[in-house]
Amino acid sequence: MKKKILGSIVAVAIAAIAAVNVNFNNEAENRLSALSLANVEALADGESGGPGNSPCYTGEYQSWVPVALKCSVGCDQYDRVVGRVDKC
Amino acid sequence: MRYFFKYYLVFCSISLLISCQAIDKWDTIDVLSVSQRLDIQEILYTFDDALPVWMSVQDSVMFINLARSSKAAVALDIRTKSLINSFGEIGRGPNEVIGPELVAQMDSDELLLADVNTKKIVRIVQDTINKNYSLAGAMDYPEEIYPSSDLVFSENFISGRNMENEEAMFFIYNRTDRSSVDISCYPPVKNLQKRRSYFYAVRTAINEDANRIIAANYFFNMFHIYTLQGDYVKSLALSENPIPPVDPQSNEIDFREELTGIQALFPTEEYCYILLKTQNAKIQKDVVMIKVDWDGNLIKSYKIEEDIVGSIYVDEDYHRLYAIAQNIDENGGEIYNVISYSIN
Repeated sequence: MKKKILGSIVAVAIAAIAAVNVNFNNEAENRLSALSLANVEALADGESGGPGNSPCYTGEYQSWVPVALKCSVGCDQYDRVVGRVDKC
Repeated sequence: MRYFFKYYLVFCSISLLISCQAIDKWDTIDVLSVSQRLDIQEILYTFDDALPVWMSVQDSVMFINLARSSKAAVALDIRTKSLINSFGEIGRGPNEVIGPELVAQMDSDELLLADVNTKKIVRIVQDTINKNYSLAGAMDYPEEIYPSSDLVFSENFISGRNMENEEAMFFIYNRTDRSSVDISCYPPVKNLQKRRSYFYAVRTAINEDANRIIAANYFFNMFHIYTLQGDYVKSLALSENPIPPVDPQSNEIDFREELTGIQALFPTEEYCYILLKTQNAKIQKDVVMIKVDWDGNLIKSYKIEEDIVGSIYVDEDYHRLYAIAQNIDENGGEIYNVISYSIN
C-alpha cells in the first residue's frame, strides 16, 4: 500500500513538473509568435527597416548609448542618440 | 531491481526537466565585493568646446575622437599633457569623415577610425617631418557587416553591431573566409518587441588566444561570453536585477526610473575591464569598473566617483586607467577632463 502511495506521489510530481515545463515552452512559443506578429505589424506600418522608412531617433546625444539613425540631420547620419523615435 | 530502474528513470526525467527550466539562468557577480575606490591622479587635458568620446593610447600619445567638433580627432602627448594636433576634416570628401569611432584593435598597433556615415575605415598616420597626425588611406568597409558600429578588429576576426539586424546582438566576421556569424539577442525579455537592435546593442572585446569574445549590453547589467565560432559559453549579471523593465504600452525598455548598463570595455591579454554605469534619482550616478578574466571570473572592482563618459584605456604596464570625466562649470556648461587613475 505504501509503495502504491509513494508511486502515486512520484507520478503526480512528474506530471506537475512536466506541466510547468510545457507551460514554459508555450510561453517561449507565445513570445516568438508575438515577436513575429510584431515584426509583421511593424513592417506593415513601415516602422522597421527598408530604405527611407527606418526608425530614426529624435533624442539628444549621449556618449554611451548605441549608435542609431538621427532624425535631425536628415536621417542619413548615424549618431549616439537616445529618446523618441520617428520615421525617416 | 525493478524499483531501482523505476526510480532511476524518475531521477533522469526530473533532471532533464530541471535542465530545461534553467536555460535562462546566469550567475551574478557582486561587483563591490573586492572594491577599491579610485582617486584622480592627474588631469591631462580639458575640452570645453568638443565632446571627447573614444580613446586609444600608443607610445605616450593619446588619440581621442570627438563629437560636436570641426575636427574628427585629436592627438595628445601624455607626458607633456599638451595637444599635438587636431585632425580629420568633417565631410564626405577623400579622407573626410562625419561621425567616426576609433576602432578597437586587438593585435595591431595600427590606428583606425570607422565611419558608418561615409562607409569608410581610415588610418591615422603620422607625418614624418612635422610629426603631426592626419587621416589617410581608407580601407574597404566589408559589405557583409555594413552598416555597423562598435567595431573591434583582431588578426582574423571583426566583431561589432549590425544596426539593421533586429534579431542579432552582434556579429563575428571571419576576415579570412569573409563569413559572418550572427549572435541572437539574449536574454529573452518578455514584451520587448520594438527596436531590438537598439535595446540589445552590445560592445564587444576579442581574445583570439583564449578563443573568447565578451559582449556587454548597453542597457542591461549583463555581459556574455562566446567562442569566436559563435558558441555560447555563459552570461554574467552585475546586479540582482540585470534586465530593465519594459513599458507594457510601448513594448520598449522603460528608462524613466533608471538608466543602467555597461558603458565601456577594455580588453588586455589576460583580462577584460568592464565599466558599469547606473543613473537614477536615488543614487544619481554610480560608476564601477570591474576586472574579469576571459572566463568571467571577477578579479577586482573599482569604485569611481567621477561621471565617466565614453571609453576607457587601461595601461597595465604602468598601472594606469585613463578616462574622460564630465563636469559642469559655474555657468552650467559642460567640460570634459581627460584624467588618469592609479590602479593596482
